[in-house]
Amino acid sequence: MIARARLSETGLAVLGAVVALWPLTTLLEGGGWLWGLILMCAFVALVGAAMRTVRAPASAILLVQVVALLVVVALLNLHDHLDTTFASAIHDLVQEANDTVRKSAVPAPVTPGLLMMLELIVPGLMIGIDFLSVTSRQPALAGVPMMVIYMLSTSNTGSALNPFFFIALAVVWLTMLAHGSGVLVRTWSSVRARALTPTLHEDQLGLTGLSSAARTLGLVTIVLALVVPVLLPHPDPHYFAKGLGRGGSGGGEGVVAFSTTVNLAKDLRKTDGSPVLTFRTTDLSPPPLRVTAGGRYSDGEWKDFPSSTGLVISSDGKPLPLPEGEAKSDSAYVETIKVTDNTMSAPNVPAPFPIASGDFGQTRWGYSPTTQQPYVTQKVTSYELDYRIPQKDAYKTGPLQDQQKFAGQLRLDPASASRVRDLAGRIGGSDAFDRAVRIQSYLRSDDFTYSLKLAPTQTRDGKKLDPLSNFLVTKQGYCTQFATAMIMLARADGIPARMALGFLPGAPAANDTYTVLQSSAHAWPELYLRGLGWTRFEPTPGTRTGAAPTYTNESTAGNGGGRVPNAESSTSSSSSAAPAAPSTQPTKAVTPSGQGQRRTDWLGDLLVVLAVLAVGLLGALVLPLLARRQRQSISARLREHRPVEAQWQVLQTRLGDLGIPPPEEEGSPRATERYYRSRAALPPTGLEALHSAVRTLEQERYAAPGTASASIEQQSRKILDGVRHQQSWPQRIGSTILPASGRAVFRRGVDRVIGWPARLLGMRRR
Amino acid sequence: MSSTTDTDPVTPEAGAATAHDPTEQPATIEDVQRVASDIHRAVSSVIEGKAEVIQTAVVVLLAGGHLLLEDVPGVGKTMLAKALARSIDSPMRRIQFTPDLLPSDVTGVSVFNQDSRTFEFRRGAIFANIVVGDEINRASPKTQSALLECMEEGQVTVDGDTYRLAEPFMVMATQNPIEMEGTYPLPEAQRDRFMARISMGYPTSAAELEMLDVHGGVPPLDRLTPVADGATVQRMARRVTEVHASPALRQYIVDIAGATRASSSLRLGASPRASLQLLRAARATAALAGRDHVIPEDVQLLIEPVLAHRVILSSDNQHLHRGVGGVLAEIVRRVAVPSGPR
Repeated sequence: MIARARLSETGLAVLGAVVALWPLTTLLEGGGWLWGLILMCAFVALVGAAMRTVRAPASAILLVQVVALLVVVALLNLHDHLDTTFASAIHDLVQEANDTVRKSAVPAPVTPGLLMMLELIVPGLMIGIDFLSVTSRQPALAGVPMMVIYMLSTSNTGSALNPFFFIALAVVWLTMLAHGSGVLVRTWSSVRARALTPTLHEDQLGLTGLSSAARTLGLVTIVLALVVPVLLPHPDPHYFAKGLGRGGSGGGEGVVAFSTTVNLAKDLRKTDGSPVLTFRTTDLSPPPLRVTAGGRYSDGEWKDFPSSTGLVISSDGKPLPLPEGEAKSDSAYVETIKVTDNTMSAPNVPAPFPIASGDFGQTRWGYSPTTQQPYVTQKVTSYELDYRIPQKDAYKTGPLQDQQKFAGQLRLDPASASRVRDLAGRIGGSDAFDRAVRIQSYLRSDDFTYSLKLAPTQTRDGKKLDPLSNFLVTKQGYCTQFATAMIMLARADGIPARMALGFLPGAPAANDTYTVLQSSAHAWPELYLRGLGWTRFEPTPGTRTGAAPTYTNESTAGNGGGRVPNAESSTSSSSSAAPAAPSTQPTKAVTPSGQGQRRTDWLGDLLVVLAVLAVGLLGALVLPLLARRQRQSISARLREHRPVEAQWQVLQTRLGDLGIPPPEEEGSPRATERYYRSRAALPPTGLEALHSAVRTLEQERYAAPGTASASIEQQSRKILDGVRHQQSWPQRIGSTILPASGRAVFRRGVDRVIGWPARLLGMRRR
Repeated sequence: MSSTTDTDPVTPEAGAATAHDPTEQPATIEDVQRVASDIHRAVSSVIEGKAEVIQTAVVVLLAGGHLLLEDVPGVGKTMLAKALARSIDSPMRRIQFTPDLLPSDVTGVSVFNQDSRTFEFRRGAIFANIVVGDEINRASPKTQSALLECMEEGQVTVDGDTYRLAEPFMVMATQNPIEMEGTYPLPEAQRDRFMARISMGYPTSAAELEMLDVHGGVPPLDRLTPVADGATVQRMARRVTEVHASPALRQYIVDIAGATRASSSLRLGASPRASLQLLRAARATAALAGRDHVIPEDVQLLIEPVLAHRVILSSDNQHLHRGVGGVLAEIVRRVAVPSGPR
């Protein structure tokens, strides 16, 4: 009874699922869900064991396991909805899971919907593992569902997984394999086993060789799996496939949704490289394309970005009024961009700021009076916008009017307020514009590191730092942190500031065409300055964003080297010793290095592709070359004393390459001739040539020596031509690229290489 | 030219030195092929539809071996022997083996000549080119062994005197495999002395009908005209020994013999003598095909006639259903044909 349940295999299967599940802990918050999933895996495995005990057929076991899982998941997640709302409850949960996966950064919160999906997927795959490895006794195949669970994690992390996860999984899988083989061997009765025990000769080639080769292969695979990813360059995942459940900002096929939750405390995962839109402009440094601006900062998160309500309906071509606070300036000039292939879903539409006028074709559109951001009623693929380039000379010194109006844009986050005020005071500056530029220079300095991965949260006075303070201390982050820091520092100086979200323009291709990718998503601050109105600043370092806006550079020319004293001397001695770069230079040679970066990226991609092609080409050449070498070695060995024999063996390998393997048992020349006659379907000339070649060979092999040396070169050519003539093109190409003799040589080589431990063991045994 | 056939009474060892005339033209392979096919055609005119059996008989004749014919009565065993002898225009003697046959009946006996007051040797039935031993298994072992000594040595020893036998010399012994009662089956050692064993088998119905048509009237042997003579056959036999057997081929024969010894299906494998005779027979076969070298097919063709009567199936009955032929065929299939010197 108990034996039928196969408890040890069941236990191994559960262990396999759990270990495969383990790396999910790096993706999801908390740990309670893990225990739930482990329990559910154990549950379905036990259901399977129970069914096996009563000798249920395999299909019934599978069915009962699936039904049991569905019932338990329904009871756990939908017990409140066991009525008419059942379907909509499922829908809501699935929607929630979908939202969580789409919008959250790693580590994601485990929402009830996500939990339900996990409870369905993971134990579902557990059923697969159980069915394959225990019920069907094919543990090798169980590696597939285990790998799928593992892939859930690997395909969604932006960074490399700890190799330990993989090693653990490999060890469990190999244990399953070993255990399975052990069970198989024990089922043999000893008498029969003895009868089946091969003799010494077969021992070398047979079971022992096979099993030790398999062992070696397994070992080599694991070692390679660990070593190769380290040695190979790490290509962006999107080169190969979109992972399961990926897409921080992806919303359906061909449409880009824009997530407006910005969390400062989270690492940015690698995002999609698919294009959002393409535009053309003559502007040499086009501004980022904004999607929204505003927002409210609390608890390390930017929320409540304005929605597309209260719009001023506009019509195409009609100039928009000057934005609030912006003085009319004769020197401001206007640039145009033409957007094509826009995939962003309505009502959002990426646009430079501030726009002067817009043309969206037939589509109705309007703009927000506060942010000047255009919105559309339906998705527009192509549109044209004029935008103004702010000029520094429009700026007016003096105190800001009606501070009350900007209360929201001057509010500091209580958690970081004191630190921010302190730092803003140390950065200093003469007037609002100068202070803003100094803040920007400070953040763009070498002290700060641009990184999608955040530094670990620091602790001060026994309390964990809030995300913004943590950024200011660790000086490591990406655009969101830089933008937020600048906004808060500006607000501390009394300059209203708000968050803008959108996309970097990217690098121009031919004829001033820019392709904006989803991975170019960006955040930057807009500061309200007298005369200039809301003005874009760029605190994120040049490696990501290129040069800072031109109007922020000029003013600081005479402002020689405002050094910023560093209060956080405890963080690192180097940062205090090397203060911010003089603000005359935004950062060292940002523009060329930014461009260069992009070009090297592109070059790197090309190199990777070329390398892959080259490896493929070399790979395609390997087997033909091996086959050629083998033919040459045959020739070299026999040419002198037995030329016909050499030519005959070369002919045989070539026929093998063409898909007619040599006869299994080495027979007489005439027997071989009969064999080739029956296999090769030769035309009459080929048959004649074959006959003549065989007679010549026979002569050389068996006749008295001293007869004139002969050659079957011509016959060989006729035979090969005859065989090739019968073949289709794919067959011919296949036999050229993957010749059987080359494959055999390759296999022997591999056997030699991986077989050495086996031979070593074999020697020791004897 | 052997002088033994001409002198009467014979003196011991006479003619042993005159093996052949040094002035004779060396025979070519074409000659061998032509003579052999002439003999073959002549015998075929008497024995209908038994080309393979005749072929083996001619091969054994040219290879200088002896033939064991094993079959039921009346299928033409004796007729084959007679036709062969007549076609080479050589004397043929027939010995009907019975339990009371004495060795001296076979070999000959020394009798006292009252006139010369000396013992004179009266030659027995063995002194002929072709000797047919009918139902050899009916004679006593003593008589059988007398015959076998002659077969192996090509000579007769009586009262301490040795007499050479005629050349060519070929014994065609017949055995009836059905009536085994009261017989003395040939022991392995004696069977080993026959180069080949063949079964005639019943003729096909067409051949039998033809036989009734043709042979109904005149005795067929009377119409058979000789196509060669003993001397010619002798010359051809010498040429046959010169047919080239390459090292690879000799290796092949040794491999096959070795395989019969190693085979678990066989209690007794082929003897070294078997290997030797296999090679000699293979040479003759090659010559018959007009080749001056032996190829593996020659050997394969002869495996069953040459080896089947020398090996013994193991008592382990699982091979019995295949028979010796099946086991040997399997061995031939398994043994690789060497392609060159090792």
